[in-house]
Amino acid sequence: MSEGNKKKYERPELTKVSLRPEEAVLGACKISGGRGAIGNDCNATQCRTLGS
Amino acid sequence: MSVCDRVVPTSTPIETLRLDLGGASWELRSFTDGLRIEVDGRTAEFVNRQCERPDAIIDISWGGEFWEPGPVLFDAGPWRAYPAGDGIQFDFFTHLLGPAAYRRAVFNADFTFGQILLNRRLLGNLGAYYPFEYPLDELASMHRLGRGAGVELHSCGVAIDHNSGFLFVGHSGAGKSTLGKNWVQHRQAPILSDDRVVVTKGDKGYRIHGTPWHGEAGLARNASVALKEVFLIQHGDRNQAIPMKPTQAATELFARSFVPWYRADALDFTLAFLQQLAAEIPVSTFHCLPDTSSVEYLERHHAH
Repeated sequence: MSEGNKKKYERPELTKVSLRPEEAVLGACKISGGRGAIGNDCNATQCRTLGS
Repeated sequence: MSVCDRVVPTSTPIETLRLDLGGASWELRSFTDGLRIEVDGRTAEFVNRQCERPDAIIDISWGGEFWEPGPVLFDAGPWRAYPAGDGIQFDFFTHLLGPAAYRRAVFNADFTFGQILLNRRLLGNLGAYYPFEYPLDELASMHRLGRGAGVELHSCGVAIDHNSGFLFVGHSGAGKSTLGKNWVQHRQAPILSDDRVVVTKGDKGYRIHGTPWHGEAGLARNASVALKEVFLIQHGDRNQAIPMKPTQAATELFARSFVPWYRADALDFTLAFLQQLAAEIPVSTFHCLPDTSSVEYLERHHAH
């Protein structure tokens, strides 16, 4: 590869990405479209997110 | 004897139901006498009436007393995961029914076969129930994808024509449902989902698939189109899309993916999949206004 075709050096960059565990972990409270669902128990004490 | 062999129905199913979930077809075979399968409202759209061979089969039976599970792999509160041979087991709980699991699901390693056991003592009088109800349907789909089938992203998928679509990826509150509603209002565009979209890669490239797990706008469609472009959305004071470097894009997409965090093989696959996707499909950050001008902007600059 000739000098002219060399790819310009780019310094490695460290970037932080925020993870949101309360969204990434499926809960019991995704918005329900049905009746009588047990898993969609949005009053559950474990429920932390609406998941949308 | 594997965990999956512990309960094996011997008769023919009383009822069967086929579903399309994230690019795969799942066949539910119910052996639960006295309990009809009744899909919930958001899943009805995803019932598949074709007769092709399913990708996964799930047998549903009554369970008596559930056997004591092994060590917990992951405790999410309403559900817990346990190792089960080469596969995985999920138990489901709700304070409405007390401390015992009301439902148990066991899957083989590649998620081609599973069994759902329903606690007869707790559910025996329901008459009708959807045994694959959320979050089990999404958990099963997510784990299957993590075995090499694709990735589920926190996103809104929009079909911009008959064959192709945009994917708008964002955390909660980023504006996915608003964007979806704007595309419907402005262009009557079909929305695959305003919250969860599955991406797969086949011979003809990447495709995005609708899922039943919609967001606040309640938009979900059993359809798939080729993936044309990906946008990481965020609120802005004007509409502007800025191309991202593939490495940065893959990292941001990973942070908005649904993966079994306790499965190293799924994490490896998902990272590699997103790296490849970001190298092959344009990914931009999209600063956008919460009105139909964002649709006009993308149509002007990106739809052709």
